[in-house]
Amino acid sequence: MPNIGYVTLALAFMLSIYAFVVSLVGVWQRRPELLLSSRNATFGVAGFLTLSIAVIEYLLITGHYQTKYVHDVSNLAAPLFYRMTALWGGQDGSLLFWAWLMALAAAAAIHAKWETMRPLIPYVIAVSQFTVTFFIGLVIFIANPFEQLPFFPLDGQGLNPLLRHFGMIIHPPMLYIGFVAFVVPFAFGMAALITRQTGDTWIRTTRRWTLIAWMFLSIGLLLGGWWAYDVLGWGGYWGWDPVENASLIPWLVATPFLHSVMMQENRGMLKRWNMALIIMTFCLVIEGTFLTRSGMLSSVHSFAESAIGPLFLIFITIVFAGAFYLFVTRWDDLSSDNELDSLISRESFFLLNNLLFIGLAVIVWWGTHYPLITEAIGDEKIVVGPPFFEQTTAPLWAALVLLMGVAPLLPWRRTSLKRARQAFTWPTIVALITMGALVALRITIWGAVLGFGLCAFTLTTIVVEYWRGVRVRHHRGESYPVALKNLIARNRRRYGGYMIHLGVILIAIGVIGSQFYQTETQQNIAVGESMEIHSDMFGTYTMTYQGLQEGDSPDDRLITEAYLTVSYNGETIGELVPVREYFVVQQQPMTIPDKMVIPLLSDLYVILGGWEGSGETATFKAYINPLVNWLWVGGFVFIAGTMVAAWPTPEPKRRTSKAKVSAGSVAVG
Amino acid sequence: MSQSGISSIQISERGANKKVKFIVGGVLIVLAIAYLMYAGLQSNATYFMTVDELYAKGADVENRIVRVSGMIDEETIEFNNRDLILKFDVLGENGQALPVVFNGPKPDQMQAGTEAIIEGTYNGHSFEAQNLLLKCPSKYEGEPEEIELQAIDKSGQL
Repeated sequence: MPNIGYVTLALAFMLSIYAFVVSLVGVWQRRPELLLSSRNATFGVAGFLTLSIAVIEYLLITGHYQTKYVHDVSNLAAPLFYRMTALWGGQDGSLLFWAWLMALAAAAAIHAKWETMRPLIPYVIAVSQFTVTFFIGLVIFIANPFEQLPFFPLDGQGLNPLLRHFGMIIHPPMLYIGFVAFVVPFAFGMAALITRQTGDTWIRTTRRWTLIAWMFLSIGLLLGGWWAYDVLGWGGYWGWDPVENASLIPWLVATPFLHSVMMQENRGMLKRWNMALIIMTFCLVIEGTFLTRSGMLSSVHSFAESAIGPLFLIFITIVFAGAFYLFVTRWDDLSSDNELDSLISRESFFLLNNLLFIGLAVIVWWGTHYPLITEAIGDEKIVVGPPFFEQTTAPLWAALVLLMGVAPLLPWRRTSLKRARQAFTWPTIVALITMGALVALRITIWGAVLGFGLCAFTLTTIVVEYWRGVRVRHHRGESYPVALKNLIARNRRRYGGYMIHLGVILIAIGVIGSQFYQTETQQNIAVGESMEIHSDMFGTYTMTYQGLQEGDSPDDRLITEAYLTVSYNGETIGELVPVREYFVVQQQPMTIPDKMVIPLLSDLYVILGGWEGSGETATFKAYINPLVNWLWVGGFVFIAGTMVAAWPTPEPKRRTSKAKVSAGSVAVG
Repeated sequence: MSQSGISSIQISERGANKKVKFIVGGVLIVLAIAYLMYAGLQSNATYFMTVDELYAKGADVENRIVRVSGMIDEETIEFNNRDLILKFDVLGENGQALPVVFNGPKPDQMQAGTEAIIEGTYNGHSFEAQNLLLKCPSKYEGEPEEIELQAIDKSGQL
């Protein structure tokens, strides 16, 4: 059975090389039958990889522990769900999974655009299959998940306990899908450069792909935060860990891309910039994967150091050099159709948005690579921790929140100062009132007050935008809910975009609350004793230790639960049970926090740090995390907005809605 | 859009001027971001060194926040569970010991062969750790398992 898996891998590898070569030969010799053959080969690659995946899943599910990978990440006690998802629980399997997803994405895009994008397709095949070949090659030659052990183990080691969490099970595939799907816009971008068709065709063609890739990347980032908060038990959701940063950096470059493509579509501007952004996004995706996989930077996520590193470096160099060469030689084809008209216009604020995002990407990249850079030049390893990232990026995040409020209200081309002032009167008033109210409530950290004020400003502009649209429709006789529904349905891209902004604002509120007002305390108490945690915003909670209980679970875990009763202002309001699990087989403990959620306000979050004897005394760490649940709510709104914006619209309908957009923007302008 | 006929003529006359404005604005923003980064690095850069390197630097790094890695000497572990004071030595490559004081719970993973990365300050005699990160040998693909702990913040507030 494992041999079948390996053989299908090898066939996929050969087919992808074939597709790469034949697509290029076909286009140079103008032989359509070769192009057809190379297209079919890309489908074959996806098919054979699907078979390999089926084989490895079969081995995982049936517990074929002679296969080294199965032995490493699964065991007899594991339930079916964890056996299946162990596919991405380790290096070898996850690389195969990655290659498979990428082959599927490439095949799907090539299938969908075969008819309409004939001139670009051969190069799309070549670029995507080149990438796919690299990843399959890694799996075959270095990280073979079908490798057999020379003996017959009866059981495996089991999945890393930390990964046994729903968030952690779906977090990697989401990130992977996000990462691999960027191969599609990248391949189309490269094809556009090669064929010198540098208008907005490649952008329109791949807009939805880019949005979907971006959405999965966003989901991955959000789930990562949720998992960290829920399971890792350090009271936070984002640690500026190198691997977290590695997935954030491409996101920081893809986000301005999604914005600035609108300038290319509407005004024929920023062609060079957009091309540069998609090249950077893809290179950063590959580089991020490299960082994660090579063990170059120490991180909670690190895989073992392996021979993969140098190969990745070579691959990144080839991709970047090739893209850069094309970019430079096509420089003149990418010149702009229009000039910027005015400082106060949507264009110039889009530019500012781009600049800020790239600034963020540079800061995060630099901070993440700082130990490597300083070690390479100065022989001294210098690291920067979360405070660096927080201090340096905070002003830029704040500016982006403001821009999110300002830019959508400004028309294309230009506007007068007077009209701009009119548009921003109400949001400014609401922001000022909010800030005044916060100060009256004794929220006096100026960063928090300013941050909440900016959120209030932008929130108001979003509400006003929806309100204006709904009111117009209501006047035409639609009821309010119907008007809202139609408003969004007729212009998904615009109102979906606003929904994403709304989600970002909610997330920002959660971040500001939890960053500025988190309080923590740690204490060792005996049974019957109490500890207190105080927050200026939410008062004092008292937790009384009731005792410890130990028990086994069916799958070889020792579970120790600590019982705490919680009271607030002298009144008992509930019980918290932080847990320590000990995985006997893996000899690994895991600390699971318990939290008391006060919706929309705060979390009381408690971790069992340790205990003495049979629990006469125990150590607890407690946090009050204000507003942290806004993050999860915001995350849902954000993803829902992306889905609205990316939802396919039937062809004829799209034409009318596009006409409406241009009519709308003319009316505004 | 009807007014654009007149204003576009005005715009083209002022075109060069406007371009300058955009460039100046852009450069200012880039400089501001660069400054933020520079200032951030100045105040947050932390040396990452071994015990031997720490002793070699001596007074240079005293009372500055640094990160030090070394093997934990099990024999020296002392823990006062009432006040949560953990003391242990980490060893340099040449066997030189650095006494560490950590105000927090004792992690279960302090066993033979554990590498610790501590972040804090060295006062010339001992190292006061604010963060303690343990790297334990683990079976998972040779991947070291890491446990990170923070010292108690005595003010009780962040």
